[in-house]
Formats: sequence, C-alpha cells, structure tokens
Amino acid sequence: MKGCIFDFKRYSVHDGPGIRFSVFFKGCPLHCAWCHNPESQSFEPQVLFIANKCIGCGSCESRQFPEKCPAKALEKCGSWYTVEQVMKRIRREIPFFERSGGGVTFSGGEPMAQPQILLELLKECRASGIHTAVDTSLFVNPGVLSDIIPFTDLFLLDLKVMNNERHLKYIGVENGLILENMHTVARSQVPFALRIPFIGGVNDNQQEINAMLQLALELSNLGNLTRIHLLPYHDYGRSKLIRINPEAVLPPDSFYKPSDETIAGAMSLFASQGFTVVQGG
Amino acid sequence: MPQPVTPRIARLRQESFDTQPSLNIERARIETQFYKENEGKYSIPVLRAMNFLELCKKKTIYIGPDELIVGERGPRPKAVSTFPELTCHSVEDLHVLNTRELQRYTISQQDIDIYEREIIPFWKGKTQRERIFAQVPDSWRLPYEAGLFTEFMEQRAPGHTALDGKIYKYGMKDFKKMIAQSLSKLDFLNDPYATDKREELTAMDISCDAVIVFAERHAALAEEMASACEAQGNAVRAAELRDIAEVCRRVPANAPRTYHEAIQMYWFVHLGTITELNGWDAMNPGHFDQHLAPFYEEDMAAGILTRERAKELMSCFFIKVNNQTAPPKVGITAKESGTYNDFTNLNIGGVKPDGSDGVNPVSYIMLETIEEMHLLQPGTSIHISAVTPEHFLREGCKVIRRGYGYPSVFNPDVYVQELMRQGKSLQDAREGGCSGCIEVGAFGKEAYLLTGYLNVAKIFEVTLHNGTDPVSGKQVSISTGDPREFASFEELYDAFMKQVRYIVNQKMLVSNYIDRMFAKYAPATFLSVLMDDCIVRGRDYYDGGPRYNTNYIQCTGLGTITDSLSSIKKHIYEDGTFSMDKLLEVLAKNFAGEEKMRQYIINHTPFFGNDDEYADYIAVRVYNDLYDSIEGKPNTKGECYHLNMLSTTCHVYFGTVTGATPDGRLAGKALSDGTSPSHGADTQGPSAVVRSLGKLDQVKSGGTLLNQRFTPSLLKSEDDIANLAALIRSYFALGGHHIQFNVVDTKTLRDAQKYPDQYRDLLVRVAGYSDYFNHMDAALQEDVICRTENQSF
Repeated sequence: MKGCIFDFKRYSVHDGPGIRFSVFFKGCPLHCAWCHNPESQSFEPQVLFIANKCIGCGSCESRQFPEKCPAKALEKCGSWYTVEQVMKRIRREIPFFERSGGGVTFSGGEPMAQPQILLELLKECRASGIHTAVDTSLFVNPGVLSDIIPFTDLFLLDLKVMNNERHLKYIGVENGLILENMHTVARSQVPFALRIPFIGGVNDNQQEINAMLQLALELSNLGNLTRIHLLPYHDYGRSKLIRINPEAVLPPDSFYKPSDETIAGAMSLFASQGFTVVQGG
Repeated sequence: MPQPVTPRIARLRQESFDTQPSLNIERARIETQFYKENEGKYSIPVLRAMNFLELCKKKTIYIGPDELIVGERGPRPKAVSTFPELTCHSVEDLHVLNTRELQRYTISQQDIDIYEREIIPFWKGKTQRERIFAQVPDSWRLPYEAGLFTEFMEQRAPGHTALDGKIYKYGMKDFKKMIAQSLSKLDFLNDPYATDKREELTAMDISCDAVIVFAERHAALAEEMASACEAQGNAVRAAELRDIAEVCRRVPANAPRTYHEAIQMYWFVHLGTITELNGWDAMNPGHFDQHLAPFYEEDMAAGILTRERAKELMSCFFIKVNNQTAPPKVGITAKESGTYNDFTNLNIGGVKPDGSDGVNPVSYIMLETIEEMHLLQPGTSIHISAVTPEHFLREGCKVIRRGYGYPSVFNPDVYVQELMRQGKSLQDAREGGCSGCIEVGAFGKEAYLLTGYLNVAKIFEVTLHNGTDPVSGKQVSISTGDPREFASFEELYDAFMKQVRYIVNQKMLVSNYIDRMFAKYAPATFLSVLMDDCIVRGRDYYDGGPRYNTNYIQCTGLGTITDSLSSIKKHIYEDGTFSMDKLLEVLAKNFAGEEKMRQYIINHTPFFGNDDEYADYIAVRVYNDLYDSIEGKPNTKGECYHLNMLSTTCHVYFGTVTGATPDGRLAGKALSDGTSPSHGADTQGPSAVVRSLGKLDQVKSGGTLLNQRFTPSLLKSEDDIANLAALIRSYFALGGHHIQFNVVDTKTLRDAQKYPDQYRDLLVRVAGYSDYFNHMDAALQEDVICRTENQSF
C-alpha cells in the first residue's frame, strides 16, 4: 500500500499544537480558486519548474528526469511512499513531540482522499503514542470519516463559504456534504478547530461572517471547538501556478486580502461570542 | 523596549553606548618607566607584581558623577590600555587603529609621538611577541602564514577562565594569610623548587596589596567628591559617595558583607586581572547569580536592599563591563577575533555544586537587566539543566526573542559530563560552566587555555594539493600523495588525516613553547591568587599552579569539510559523475564557467545539518578523528590538550585564505561557523539541524557552538515561545552543549547594511558573543545574513 505525498515539513509550528511534523498528501477533490498549494490538487505526481533557480544550462530537454537538473529548478512534486517509509520519518521527530506537546498533522491536498494509507498511518501513530491531527476539507465519504475519527486526536477543519451557490461557484461543489461531516466531527467529541480562509470579495461580507458564526455556535454546542483561525488571503499560490505550468498566463487576481478593519471586525465578533480566535496558523 | 530601571542607569547606559573606544597610553608609560628603573633587580614574578602594584598606585582613577559601582581599567570609560611588554604597537599600527573603519581606537597624534619617543624604543627586542616569533620553526611559520591555524597567544596573554565563589568568602587579607602560610611551609632543604615558589608567592602577596591600594584610592576620591557635593548642597549624591567610600575600604581587602560589596568586590578583581595582563576573555564572575543570591536574600530580609536597587546595581555592573573594550589586536589575530567584545560571559541559572537547581531571584533580575541594558557587553547565557524550571527557560526565550543575540543557551547536563570526562571531580565539574564563547571549565580552579583555531577545510585543501597551499604555491606541509592517484575515498581520507595530525603537531609544538614563555616571562601573579591551587602549590596560573591545566585547539569548519567530503565521496568515488582531475581543475578556476557543476554539487550532495545519515556519518567520523589527533596530547603542565568546536569570527578569516571547496563554496567565502551546518546547507528546519548535531558525541569536546537564525514571525506568541523552549530541551536531550539564536530578518539586516546610521544599536549574534552589525566588516555581515533563516509559511 502506498500513498502519494508531495511534502514533509519538520518543525511545523502552525499546523496544530506544539512542534509538529506535517505530511502533505497529493490530490484534492476540490479546486478552490484561491488555493495556495495548487500543486496539491492533482492526484498524480507532477514536475514543477522554479524559474528563479534556473541557471539556463539547458540540460532539461525532457522534463521527465527532474532529478538531473543541476540547480533543482525542476522539482518532482509527489512521490509514492509506504507506511513504513513515512513512519520512519515521523519517528525521528518524537523527541520534539514529547517536549512540546506536538505530533503529526496529515494535510495536503485532501488526506482523506487516500483513506487506506491515512488510516494505517493514524493507527501506527496511535500505537506509538504520537498525537495525530487531520487537516481536511471534509468533502469526503462519511464512511471514510467515521473510520478516521477514532484515530484522530484533533481535526483542523476548513470553513470556506457558507452560501451554497457561492460555494459551488468558487469551489466547484455544493457544501451540504461538508456541513454534514462537520456535525459528525463535532458530535464525536474529538477536539476540532475551524480554519477560515478569509478571501476578499468572497466570504468577507457580513452575511458570510454571520452565517459562519452561527455554524460555529452550533458546532461548539455539539462538540469540542477549540479555536477559530482566520487566515487572510495571500497570493503566494499564484506563483506556484506558474511552476506547474510555465506557459500559463494568469488572469488578474480577483481575490484580495480583506481590509484590516474587516479582519478586526470578524475577529472581535467571534471573540464576543466566547470563541478563541487567532489570525493565521 | 523595556526601559532602564532608573534615570541614573539611563544616563550611564547612554554614555557607555555613545563613547567611542580610545587607546590610552598611560599604562604603557607607567610600566615603561617602572621597567627602566627596576628591570633586573627582581625575579620576574616579583617584577611583574611590583609593576602591577605601581600601575594600581599611579594610574589615573575615575569615578563618574552618577556611578554606584566604580573603577575603570583606564582613566575613563572605554579608554583601552596597551601592553607593550606583550605586543608593542608600531607607529603604523597606532595610525591604523586610529583610522580604520572597524574596531577603531582613537589616539591623538601627541600620544602617538610619546609612544614613538618613550615606549617603542624601550621595548624593542624585549616584547613577548618578538621573543615568540624569533624562534618559531619554518614548519610552523609556513602553515601559520598560509592560514592553516592561528595562534592566540602571539598578541595577548592567555586568560580563559572564570571565577568561583571564593572572593565572596575571602578578601585579599585572607589570601595574604594563605600565601604567608604557604611561604612558611616551603622546604628549602628538600624542595628544589622552593626558591621559585617563594618568588611566585611573594609576587602574589604584592599583587594582593596592589588591588587593596587601588580600592583605597577610590575610597579617598569618593570622600573628596562627597565633600565637594556637600559644599554644593547635593546631599543625596554626597551620601551615595560616602557609601561608595565605605564599600571601597571594605572590599577587596575583606570579604564582602552585602550585595553591593559583593558586586564591587568582583569588579575590583576584574579590573585587577585586566590591568595586570590583557588575557583573552577578560575575566568572568561565572555563576554570578548563584554567588550573589545569599547576599541578596540577606540584604532584602534586613531591609537594606530593594529589588529595584538590586537591579540598579546589577545594571551598573553591566555598564562597567561594557566600558572595558577589548584591547586592540592587529594582523591575523585581529581577523580571527574582529570585535570590541572582550567575552565576559555571565552564566545564569544552571546547577549548584550539589546538583540542584541554581535559579534564584537574582537570575531573574539579570534577565531583566539584559533586556533593559541592551549593550554589547557583558555576554550572557542561560544554563538549562533537566532540573531547571520551565518558567526560567521561557523567560529566557522571551529575552532571546528580542533579537539582541543574548542570552545564548548552555546545557549543564552535558558540560558537567564533559568536565568529568576530562578528570574533574564531580564538585569541581558542577561548579564549572562555560566562558568566553562556549568553552567549558572548572571555574576558579582551571587554566583552560585556548591556543588557536584549526582551519580544517584548508588542511583538506592542502591535502588535495599534496602538501602545497594552492593560494601561494608554497609547500606548507608534508606530502601525502597526489589525490588523482587515490583509488578510493579511504585513501583520500587517510591522506587527509595524516595532514591533520601533522598540522596539529606543528601547532602544538609552538603553543607548548609559548606556554613556557608566559610561565617564564609574564606570570599572572594576581590571577594566580584567585585560582585554586596556585597558592598551595606556590606556582603561577601559567605554570601548573591551578588544580587543572588544560590546553584547547578549536576546530573550525566542520560543516564545510563534511559537505566537501560528502561531495567527493558521492560524486567521484560512488557515482562517478566527475573525476578528481576535473574537480581539481574546476576548484582551481573557482568554478568559473562551471556553474552547472557547482549547482549540481550544491543541490545533489547530502549536506550536514539535515539529519541525513550519509552526511552526518562523515561529520561524526571527522569529529572523532579530530578528537583522536588532539585529545590527550601532553601539554607543558603535566596535563593535556582537548578539542572544542568554535570559530568566533575566524571562519571568515579562514574563508578568505581558502580556495573554492568541493562542496560548491566559492574561494574566499566564509567557512561554516562554529559547529553549525554550512550556510544554506540546512534546508530541513531546526529539528533536523539539532538531530544532526546530536549525533556528535559532544561530551568528548570542551564545547560546541550551534548558531540558528529565526525570524521574529516564528517567535511571536506564547505557543511559539513554548516551541522554542521545547526545541532547546530536545537538542539538549540529544546531547547538545550549546545553542544560540539570531532573531532578525533578512530585510532588517539588508536595510542595516544600506543605512547603518539607523541601526547603530543592532546587535547580532556572531559566535559565542554578540556584536554590533555596523561594527562588522562586510564579509562577516554577509555571513550573518547567510546563516540559514528559519521561517514558517
């Protein structure tokens, strides 16, 4: 059994509590227009081209052998790993987990889109006493979710857009399944945090914010909502689109970072209802 | 930014910060006159001590209008003395010092003229430095000039120690009694060394008198100033000065009774040692918080001290240390240690002699003082054992977050083991700590002399050229074979180690010779009073008097050499990607026209610092072999050499004399610093770096140095601080000796390069100490910027 993973991050401090090790699965059923890891969307390994590392040596006629690029301007994105290969990397971090209350965060892409290997990894971590966090869009099969829940110590749930039409427009799917899964997670009593990508022009208006607040209140009544993270939009993802397709011509960015007032307003609204709300991480 | 505790401190601090270091010739003049009248009349130890007494009697003393702790080495703050008996600066040297851009020491033309007339002619042919260089063999001179190693003692005296708690229990009068006792026990019938011992002990006795006189002069001056204040109606200052006078009459002649006296006691002792000689690392009170704690508690209980006053006095002390600029260096020694910093490194926290937690209220006062003072000196470090409370570590991390480069972090659980491995007793080991940059020692009982840096990367370069230095074309070492003919990596590595052993031996034979020069010609008779067991043995600090006598060689460039060996092993001997011939050709051209090959090496070689088995195995092997070449070799005091792994600024100097290296480093660029990975080589984050470093058996060293750079964004919240603390504890659990953090982002540093005037107070971590970014030459600035920056996304 193997999983397609495109990145490992050591000393990961903004993907859950403590010092963590983050595993980024390749492939996502969604295609959010603002995604800052667009290379994570395809389920297939890809080759990225990082222009500012290129030294123009010309030894890349075929992009099939990225490992031959002297300057590592061609980068293989996504490789297949066995459970043991991943666990070996995870185990090196145990001294740091122990002292910081950290652990492993499975993210991506959508980790639950590769449920078999995710479940195996979660079980292995659990058996080794390692804290597990799953960072997910929850656009997943409810059956898969119920398998994952018992082995997860913390959920990091994306909360993107409340209005169903807008959800369909920007993300490509309706949000009924996601909302249902959120309630399932809440009811399980496993601690969870909400991570809101706060996108100017999309969900930074009052209706969206109010609707998110209502949902947060509902979910926190049902279960153990630890924190709300507000992640203001940034455009680092756009340069990654060029890495995936160097010939791409990007349309002007239709998204923007919400104003400081808007951000502050949203944060104080959530805080006023008793939530712990943080910007970022 | 936290404010100084009182307006007085704000004034003293500003004055200290604003004062430009100057060169002061008074010490040279008094000494020259004394030598003219007395040389030849006394044994050398007695002559040195009498010279010291003369200086203490005659040199201009200074009490500032605001000060509480008093005493300067020179006639005013940052007036730096010269030591012509060790190194006599030439007229040209003085001009260079006066005009050079970095580490400038102003001196008037008038003083230069006096120096030319009075000082230089007398000392010509008589200085320690001339004595040293007159007799060094070519086999040493060639590699020295090529930059294969440095020699610390060619310009400054060895010091390299710190004090334990004895000066808080005994005053000079008590030491005099001990000296008298030792004298009375001398056996002139049976001990062939009795006469030498008598001279040394007599000298020590005179040295005690010298500091007593020095203090009494301050008492008299303080009284005078008090009367003047009273006459002007300033009763408050008059009362302060009368207090100061009383303190100066009490210490150092007698043991201190109060917190104020304890600090002043240490301060007079510090001034004494840096007046007698210009020893490396000035002087150091060691575990100052532990020594001051009983005084603090008693004074607070008696109602004669408040916490605010205690911090005020501590702040005064910090400012005093900052006022003692390092004596100027010229030539190679200036490059290996290019800074005003004189390396007094206060050890805070740690363990007590009984092994229990040493953190106390004074520890926290010191942390606050660090934040409020934000000055170049003193250096400070927090010592974090398993028994150290988390709260102290977190508070220390918050100071680290400010980005001053202080405090660094040490691990008593590993360094106590280091000391015991070297043969120290458990008690002596626990009383020890780390001074200078990172070197470990048994405070109050050990002379642990650093002899100089070893340019490991260049030794390898010379190996690749069969004993020749490709930069000069000269044969600077033995022949070990043409690497193009080596059939395996093992053959190459063998040749490399032959070179290492040869060069180390060259270094040692001259360092041993210089050791004897100091013992014979420049004994440290005052320092010997303060170090066990000099009085009992009747021998000088440099002559085997201390209980423990160690010499160190500091190995530089572990990252660079590991990465270079990794590159050759993989690309030449395993994958056959290119030949040795091709590599040598490309290195000779400094990679000109070969950027593709250089990039290939940089991006396809396992590098040290990434928790990669391939590279780390090589690092461990090199470390162990360096250890084998140095460890246990005899020194001239009946003990031996050990190794440690630091570089101060020497990695920059060594880089300038080393050509392009097989890891892709360009000619002239800095080597890796301390024990850290090469710049930019660590790409897997700090947890990977500490795991790599943890594979070295650091207990075998006398200290290692790990530099990490963090951006402020990574240390903003309480959680971030908790994670930093966890990273430190994890590294220490993996066997780490030391770690330090530069918390400044690249943008700020680049800005500081462009607009230095706006960043006069930008203090960054260099090696075991901090320095002003503006005071660093461009190469060292680049070096600090290049140190891999850890930033979360």
